[in-house]
Amino acid sequence: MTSNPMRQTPIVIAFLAMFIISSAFLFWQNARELDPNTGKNWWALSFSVLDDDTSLVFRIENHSDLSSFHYEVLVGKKHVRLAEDSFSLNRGETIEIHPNIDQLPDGRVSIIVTSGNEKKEIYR
Amino acid sequence: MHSITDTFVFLSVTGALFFVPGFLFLHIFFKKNRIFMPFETFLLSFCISVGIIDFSMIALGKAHIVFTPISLIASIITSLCLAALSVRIVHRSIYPSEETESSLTSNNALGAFSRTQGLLFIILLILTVLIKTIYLSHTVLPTATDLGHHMYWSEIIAETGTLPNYAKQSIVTGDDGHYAISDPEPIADFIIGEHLPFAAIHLFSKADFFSAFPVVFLFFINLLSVFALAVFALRIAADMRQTSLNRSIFTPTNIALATVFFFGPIYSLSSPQAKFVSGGVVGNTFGNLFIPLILLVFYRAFSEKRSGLLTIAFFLTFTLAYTHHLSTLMLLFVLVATALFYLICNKDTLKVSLLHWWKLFKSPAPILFIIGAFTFFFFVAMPTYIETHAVGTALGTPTKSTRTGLTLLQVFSSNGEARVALGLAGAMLIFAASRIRQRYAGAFVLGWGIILFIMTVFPEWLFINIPSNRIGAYLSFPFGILASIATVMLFALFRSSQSAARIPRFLFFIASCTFFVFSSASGSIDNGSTLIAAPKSTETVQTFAASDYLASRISQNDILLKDHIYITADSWIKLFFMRDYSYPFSRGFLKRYSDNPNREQCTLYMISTPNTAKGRKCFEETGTNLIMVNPSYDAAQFEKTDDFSLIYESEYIDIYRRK
Repeated sequence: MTSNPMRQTPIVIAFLAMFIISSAFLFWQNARELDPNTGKNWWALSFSVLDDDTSLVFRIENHSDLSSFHYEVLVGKKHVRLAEDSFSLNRGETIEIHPNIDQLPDGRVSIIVTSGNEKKEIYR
Repeated sequence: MHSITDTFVFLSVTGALFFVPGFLFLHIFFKKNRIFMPFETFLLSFCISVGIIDFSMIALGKAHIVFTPISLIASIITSLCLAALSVRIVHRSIYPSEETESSLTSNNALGAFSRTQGLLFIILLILTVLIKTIYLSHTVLPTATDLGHHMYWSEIIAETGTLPNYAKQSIVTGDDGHYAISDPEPIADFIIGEHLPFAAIHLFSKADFFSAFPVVFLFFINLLSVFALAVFALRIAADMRQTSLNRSIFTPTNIALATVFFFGPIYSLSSPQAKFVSGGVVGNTFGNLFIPLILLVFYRAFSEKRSGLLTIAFFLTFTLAYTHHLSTLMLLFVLVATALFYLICNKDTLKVSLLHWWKLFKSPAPILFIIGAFTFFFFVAMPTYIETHAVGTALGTPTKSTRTGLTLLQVFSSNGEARVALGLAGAMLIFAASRIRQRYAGAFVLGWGIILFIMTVFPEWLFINIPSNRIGAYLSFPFGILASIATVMLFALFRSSQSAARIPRFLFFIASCTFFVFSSASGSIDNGSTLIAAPKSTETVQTFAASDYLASRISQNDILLKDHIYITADSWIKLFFMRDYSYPFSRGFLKRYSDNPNREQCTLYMISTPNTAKGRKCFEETGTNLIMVNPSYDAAQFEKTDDFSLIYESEYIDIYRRK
């Protein structure tokens, strides 16, 4: 053994210091990856009410760079338009839309939302 | 800023919970921890704390006391008081009369690294942490299936403040062919010790289970296992010195350094290293720390004839039994093999050896512990795999092709060419050196390596009915240590003045470079093949957003089925509902349905063929009315029919509702 030995305690302390830095990085990285707005570009369309087939209230959750949206409410195989409108929605925002429809006709009712080149559809 | 606070709180809680109780316990048991090196105190403090927390929480749960920070602190203090009381009862057996300053001095001398060695040790650790951190930065996101399953149970424990009932609902078929959802039935897949530490951290820190804390905690355990292997190598190497070896090269500290090299920067990602961490293989990760540490403590107990250490070894083994069944089984096989190996190699002094062991076992401290453990096992709580009689499934003639053993080529590829090649060389060198072979050091390292090798390659010899690749993952540890010993031993042999194998300095340099390049290349290729390109963060957040949407709207009557094959992070969906381990139900991999026709098929029919008679029957009889799928793979079959509404759409998730 040399005249200037290194004890184990400083090695343990050095290891703990490295681990603390690594932990901080991993916590930060995970938080960043789980943030729906950081480094991601997506949006989702859904009905607001789950179990009421007569409700056409829908919501859009926007985590994309798109901000101009347009919706149409169509019914039946011939896609008869019942309502349409445009709205803007910024990244990180969620909007709930109540289409102005007096009476719901028979047949599949679709809500189609478009923005840029993207289109999403829900129906009930 | 938020993540910095999370890190600080997590580290503070982990430090307080998982070091202080164990450190105090060691202090009570071993008079200022004099017999331990700082590395050993560090490792034992953590593992003993895990045991204290596990058993305290089990005792609280069985006494119907709700887990709160206060109840947990009170039970930890009570455990320490009980330890202090037992120390008073068995005072003499724990503090042998020969315990003097000399043991402190020998510990300090054994564990002291030269300045160069110390710096090298730190550099190797930096590289290890760095490489693993880079890998984990891509996988820290909560997507791993196993981790999702484990965190469900940890959250149940933390939310309810009670021990979990390991049970799940399933889809069953009655005698009349009618499908139904069963009441929760016991499952043997989980063990309480895999979940209590995470629940304890959450109780004190309120850390979100979706945060990085589960992965970071496993990462810490994984890094500690590297320390444990280095300390084990350090201790046994001290018992292997030979006059034919160069004394300045064949030192315990050099072997410890070589061990850190073989388990740190190289082979640091593939199973059972960082991949097990990111994959949430909780039990194995604990086992990989506990096994070398338990073997170290057993080794020291027998070679130094210390009953106090034997008691600690028993305590850690008992803790492992409540944490991971497979690791416990491996450990028991290793201990039996080591004992047999030692007795065979010392058959001339068989009676003396057995007498020494008997004296060690019949000391008050181990006996008191065995009585306590026996009482706890039979009258407080058994591990779930004992209660559900699952042990029998692991023993017997191998039943599947995946359980009939690995080929040598597979052993080399799964454990690393350099490590296995040098490990085999190490085993032969130790086996050839009768003086080493006859000592406890030789018996422990060879017993460990040989029995795991047999279990991996020839499982039928020992009636082991476990997937061979799972056993093979344990083999890297003894082989890595044997590789370290072989490397340092060969270098010491090449430079020993008393050795016929002595080679000139120039050739020695060439040999060193060759070894370094061979090992580094093999280990780095292994690392490179494990790295993944990028995290699936967009897919994951969409899964979680859809789950959150459903969780805030769903009623008790709604039954959800999701797809496991194409949805990212699907096992974490259950944490949004916390209704049952099987909620939502899941369509598994298609092979599982075809391999096992007796398995329920409804989860397959309801997603793959929802419009067939079988699919419709499943929907009607199980009451399933919500389906979550990836639209890129499973949308067409739902769009074809008017039976379903599409109520949620994003790029990676569609949710259909049956009308």
